[in-house]
Amino acid sequence: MKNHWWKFLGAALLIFSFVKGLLTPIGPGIISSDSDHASTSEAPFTVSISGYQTHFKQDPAIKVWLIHQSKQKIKTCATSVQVIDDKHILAEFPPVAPDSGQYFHLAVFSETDGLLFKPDAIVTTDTASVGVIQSCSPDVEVKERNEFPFRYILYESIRNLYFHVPMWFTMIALLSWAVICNLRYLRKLDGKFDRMADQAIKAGLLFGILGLITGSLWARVTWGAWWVDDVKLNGTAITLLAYFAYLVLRGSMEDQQKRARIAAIYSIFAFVMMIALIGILPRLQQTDSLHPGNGGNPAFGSYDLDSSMRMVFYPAVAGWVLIGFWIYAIRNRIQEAKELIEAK
Amino acid sequence: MKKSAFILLAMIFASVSVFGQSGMDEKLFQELHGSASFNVVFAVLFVILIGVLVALWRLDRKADKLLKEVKK
Repeated sequence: MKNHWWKFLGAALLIFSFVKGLLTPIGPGIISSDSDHASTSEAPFTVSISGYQTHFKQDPAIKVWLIHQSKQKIKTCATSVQVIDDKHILAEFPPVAPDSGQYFHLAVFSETDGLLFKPDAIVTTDTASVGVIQSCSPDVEVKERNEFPFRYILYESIRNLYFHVPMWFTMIALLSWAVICNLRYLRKLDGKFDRMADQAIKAGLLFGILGLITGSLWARVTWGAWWVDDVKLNGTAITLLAYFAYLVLRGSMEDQQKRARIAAIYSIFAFVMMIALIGILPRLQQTDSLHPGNGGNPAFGSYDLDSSMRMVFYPAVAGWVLIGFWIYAIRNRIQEAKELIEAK
Repeated sequence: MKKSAFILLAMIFASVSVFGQSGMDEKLFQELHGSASFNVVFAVLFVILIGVLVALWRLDRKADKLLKEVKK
């Protein structure tokens, strides 16, 4: 029993992440915001805001403001907020910008619903000569809430973070373990390490394939296509192909010593390529990627992943990595038994 | 069945054009995005479950083969 604690830990972490990840509700948010005209020449203009699971009526003091998309220090507070019902409010704004084509994020704050945010909600449509644009600084105290943040396109599918992303973490953990075993094989030339590396790669590929399929499903709903031209997607596809080539290469050789040595060198090479393709290239500023944290996009760490999500995401990753190593351990033991029988 | 689906679709499109002017309603938002975005979570879980079960099945076959060899 002593050596099995990590399997129970993995199972417990997975159960926690499943229950918490599926049962925690999505918090309130802004579904739509239509302005009668965001033209600055006819200011003040009114914006009608529709909320999702909001309780505007319960809170008399609702603050609404606009944040300039590129110059985020420029904020314009609503001069008056009119509550129609729990789901709808009207906010009246002074002139926001002298030029057309300026984008603004919309922020709504109430004590009961917390901070609601809609990116690129308003765009100015014409040029006007207005006086000094007044910037305001709304001081609000955002409390922690036991719900996942509302994101317009993701919506409920934000929960996939706990199921799709840990697949990749598990694959990378298993492939890293394979490289450690490969290096140990090359140093000691012990067949044990060759077997371990081979089984770790095979277990890792299972999670790679699952990550690719689940990502494709998620992309269909949020990005509108099964496969999009994204550096990270193409990088993972090349990585998986490289590792499939590993299986073919290894399977095609008879001599054990030779097979183990070539497989070890190929695996190290493939791993380095994987790190470059999915760890470094997509993070460069010049590349364009839809994934968070890549191509200049904000990472989940900066503002998308709030503490309520971290509390589920990290246990999910740890749980799946442990389960991945469990599958690897079973594979390894069966393979060892097979080799022992064949030797007799 | 087909007819009712058509009517439902027509109603959704009609309501889209109505709400397009005054902002989207919570109920309509649920109809358009809510179920689709939740279903994809279940689809993802289903794929992962099938994947792990297939791995389990293959391990089972391997262990079975070994046992037969040992018995010989």
